[in-house]
Amino acid sequence: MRKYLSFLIMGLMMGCSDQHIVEDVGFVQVLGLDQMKEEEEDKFLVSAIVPQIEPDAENEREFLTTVSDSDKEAMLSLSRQSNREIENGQLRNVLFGKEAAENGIAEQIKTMNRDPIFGTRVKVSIVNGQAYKLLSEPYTQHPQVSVYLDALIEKESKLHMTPETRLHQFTRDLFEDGIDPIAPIIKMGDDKIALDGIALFNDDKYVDKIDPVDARIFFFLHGSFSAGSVHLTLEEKEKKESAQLLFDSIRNKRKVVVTANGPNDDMKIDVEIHIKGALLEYNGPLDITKNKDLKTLEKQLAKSVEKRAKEVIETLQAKQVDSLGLGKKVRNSISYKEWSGLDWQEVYPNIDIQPHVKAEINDIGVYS
Amino acid sequence: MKSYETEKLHPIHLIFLTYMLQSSVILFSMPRYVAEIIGTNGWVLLLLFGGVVMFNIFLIQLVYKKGEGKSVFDIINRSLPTFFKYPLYALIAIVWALVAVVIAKQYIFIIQIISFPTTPSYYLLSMFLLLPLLLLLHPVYKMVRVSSVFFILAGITIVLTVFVWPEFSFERLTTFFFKEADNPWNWNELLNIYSGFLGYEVCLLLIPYITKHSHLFRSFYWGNGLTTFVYVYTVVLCLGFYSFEQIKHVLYPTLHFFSYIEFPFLIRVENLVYSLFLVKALVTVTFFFWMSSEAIQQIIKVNKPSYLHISIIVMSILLTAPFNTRQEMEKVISFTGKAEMAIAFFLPILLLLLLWRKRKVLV
Repeated sequence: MRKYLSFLIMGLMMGCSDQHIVEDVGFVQVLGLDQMKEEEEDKFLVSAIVPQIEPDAENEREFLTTVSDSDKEAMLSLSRQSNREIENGQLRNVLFGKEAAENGIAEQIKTMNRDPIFGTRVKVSIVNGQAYKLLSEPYTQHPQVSVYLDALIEKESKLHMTPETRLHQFTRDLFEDGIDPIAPIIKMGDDKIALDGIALFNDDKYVDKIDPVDARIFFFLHGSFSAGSVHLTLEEKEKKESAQLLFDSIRNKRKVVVTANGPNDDMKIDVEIHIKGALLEYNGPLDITKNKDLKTLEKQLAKSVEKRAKEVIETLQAKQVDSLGLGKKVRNSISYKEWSGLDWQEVYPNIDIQPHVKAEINDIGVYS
Repeated sequence: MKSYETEKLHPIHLIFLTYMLQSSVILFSMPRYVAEIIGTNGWVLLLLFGGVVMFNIFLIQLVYKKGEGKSVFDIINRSLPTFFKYPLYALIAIVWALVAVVIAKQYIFIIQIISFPTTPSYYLLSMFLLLPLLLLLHPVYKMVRVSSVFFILAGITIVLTVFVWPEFSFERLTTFFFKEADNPWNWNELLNIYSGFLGYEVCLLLIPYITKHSHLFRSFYWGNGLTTFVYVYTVVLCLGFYSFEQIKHVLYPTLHFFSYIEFPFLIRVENLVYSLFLVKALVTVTFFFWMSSEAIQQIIKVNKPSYLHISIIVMSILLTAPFNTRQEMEKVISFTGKAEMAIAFFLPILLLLLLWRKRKVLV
């Protein structure tokens, strides 16, 4: 009897509070944050996209905007504009306008981390322009802009054309001394959204971007992966014209070697890259069916990648951003005393960083 | 003797029980404590803590050997006068009851932050405490067996951690040892970390319930090994998943990283994980209430133990009622943890002294 009574009590106590009924909740899927101008400089223009559930509605989404200086206040204000309760539990993407990102986004990132409802998988991206403008566009070919945007960024990061930057990675790299955060940067095209490369941060401030054409080279330097293809232009020494080459199904291995003999000695970093892949397109003078020529081509390919890698490194050093996380490697190869006495931000731009590329052509496709 | 009291306990039940008793909600915040108090690669120190626990279990094993398998209460009842032993029983009963209720409250606090922010905490707490009450209706053998079943549920959470491995990097562990702590080598805080290993003292009260084949102490050594391994594994995983400065800001790093896992059919796994942790908290809470009631039954004879259980639970809720916010809770946790630790160490020592004195008198 007693047991049944206890079960009855438990049954009665269950599920009567903190309810979230799906029909009554509007789940924000994309959130855009832009810096306001002039007198309202400390405020943010918050735009949110909520999927539409009303069957007769013309648009497939509900677009809400508000001006606010705190995320929570913004959510309350957004709720006032909708017949549903606005919640962040299904948020997939947060877009920061370029201007907001240039002023630093650490505060917003920290707030998102504090609220357990955000989760750590929210993708953080930068808009080259205004997030509000990008989100307000109707996109006739993709009426569900939140799904479109999410899939676009997801696909590009799988192909290693842009980093997979979720709230977790961004926060993690933000707090780490030996690396600066990176994020995808997107732009608005004609009735479409397009990837615009990799946004580079110095601490929490957006500094510059890597163009999509150099993104692959950046990822060679960034770490090991296997995906995607790279298009290269090889310059022939004898002839003025250049040869086009497409290197596909790439597997990349990266190794970083730090040489530091002492605290006062000059540090040297060698980034060893080993790429392996299939050659799918080549219109140069070499006969790629011959082994000897293929070897020559491998060398040309390596040299070409090495040259571009060097350029990317020089850009990063000039902008004083350690997006490759070389600082971590340096930290792990010197003593604590040396590391704590080292101002990495200051030292980094002047360090001798050399890429060394070894390329291997696995095959040349199924037709010779 | 009733038939169930002679049932045999397989050592594996006891190993699982030890793990369930030791690891509790502190596992959620353990990596942060380690980062704040010990510093980089602080997991190394956890191995030492595991060793200290081994020594403590060894002390209890000595009690078992020297006392020739007599129960703790028998030893005390025979050698201490009433005016001394009753306050002692009352004290340990109160501490154990407080430990139980504090663990329950801590668990409720976490699920409140995450899922039920506006539900009154007493609502959740009373719902949770109904479960130990039901478990306490059964003899201790059954409670041990139930714990083994619960272990399988809790074990799922360990398996789930495999899915965060791709984000793990040894680089983030750094090559430095015990550096960059916010609050380095603070003894008070170190003891708080050690309190995460407590719970093994239950074996003191299990002595009369086991046969030789159960290998009580060997099982507890193994169980403690398992707990230490899980703690070290979790801390290492978190240190390689988060950056070192970041981990200091994450309130429950172990819970937080589960939110990173995504399956095609399921996201936000952390909600599943803290639900599964319910069983861990439940086992610890149940056993501590049981121990508390055992101690009280040495003072007053009770015909219906379930009334005693209810009164212990209600009293302990009332005693901890004023402590509700995170800061207040942390103070209580730290206090009860230290009291529990003192009992775990000094009770076996006291028992050994009593046994030694008795032997001397006999000689």
